[in-house]
Amino acid sequence: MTGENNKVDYIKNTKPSLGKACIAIIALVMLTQGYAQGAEKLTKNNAEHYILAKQEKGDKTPGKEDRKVIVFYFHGNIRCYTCKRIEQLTVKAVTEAFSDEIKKGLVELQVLNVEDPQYRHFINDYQLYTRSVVVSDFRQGKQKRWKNLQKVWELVHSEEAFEKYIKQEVQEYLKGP
Amino acid sequence: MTSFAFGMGMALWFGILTSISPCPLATNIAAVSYIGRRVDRAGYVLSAGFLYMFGRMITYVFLGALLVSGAQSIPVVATFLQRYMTILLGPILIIIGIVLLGFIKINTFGVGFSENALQARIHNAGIWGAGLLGIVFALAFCPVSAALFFGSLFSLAVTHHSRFIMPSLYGIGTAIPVLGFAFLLAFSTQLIGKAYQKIATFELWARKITAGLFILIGIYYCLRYLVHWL
Repeated sequence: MTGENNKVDYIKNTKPSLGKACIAIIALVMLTQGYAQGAEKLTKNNAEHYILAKQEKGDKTPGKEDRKVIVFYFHGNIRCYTCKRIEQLTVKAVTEAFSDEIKKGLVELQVLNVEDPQYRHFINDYQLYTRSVVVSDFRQGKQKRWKNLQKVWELVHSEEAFEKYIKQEVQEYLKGP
Repeated sequence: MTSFAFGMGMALWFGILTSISPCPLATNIAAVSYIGRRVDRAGYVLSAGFLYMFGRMITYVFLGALLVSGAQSIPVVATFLQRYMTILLGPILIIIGIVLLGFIKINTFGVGFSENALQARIHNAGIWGAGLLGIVFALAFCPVSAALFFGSLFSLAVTHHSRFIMPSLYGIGTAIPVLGFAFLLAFSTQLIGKAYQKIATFELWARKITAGLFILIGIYYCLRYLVHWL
């Protein structure tokens, strides 16, 4: 997976100090662990199962060598102004730049509410911490790689830079390794 | 070093960007009015302002340290705080507003504080309250602050191996616009109050307006996050 690997490497190389073992941390970790265990059960339905389920339902848009790049926009029940703007700009950038690829079934755009129980597993699948744009590469129903386009939050105030960023990232995934 | 200095600048900028975005606007208005309400005492406004900033700083440093020890917890912690802190915030703001209006009296349990001693206690609690407000508002993540803290800032801190400086600068950045407006509000009101020799009246009204704002913003949070009406 791309993106978050550098965080995990850093964490593995970091030795925890005694000072961190305060009661408040333990309490918060215990609190969140209970919540995490609940979320973990949901990861059985992962992104690949989601795609397979869609295909079984007849949504089998043919792609080159059964390949598909999916651009997800994940939102919650509360839709803030900036969140709506990110969704709007993402949809605009993808539909305008990749209209041919969308018709061929090579590119797909999905807008999903992660607070909907059937999509909640995406929080763990893609390590989501807020409303997010994720680009994912599927081949024969298998997810090869994915990336959380976290710069959307820094670029949302510049429409041109935002659209350029989305187009570049999707283009790179279309070229593929 | 240049790269680190650039990273420090970015951390500060991410904080400012969080603060000037629309989604924490309501809590920022509440913070400005709380910090700037004592128009009669410049020292109070400065102390409350810096305590508010300190409250935000320690919250982000604490969260940063906690998450560096377990990055897998980021989605869990982020989702938990966004879902539940915003629900709690409404009732908390309404209660603070009612206390500021004086409808809830602080029980002295017959210890017999003199009026001046009691006033001093409330005054001190008000200053420390600014620090607590900083902690509570920092924990009440909205989508923008979650994205910039858990995404942009955390990546930056990990890249530069900075557990303290980057989260602290982010915290300072989130407080700078609030402090700027609070100081401006307090000192301009103080100048006008002195010119008209009605500083005590201005202070009384500033307290009532602050209380009203807290109650209104609390109701807004309850309607939006508790009952999903907005």
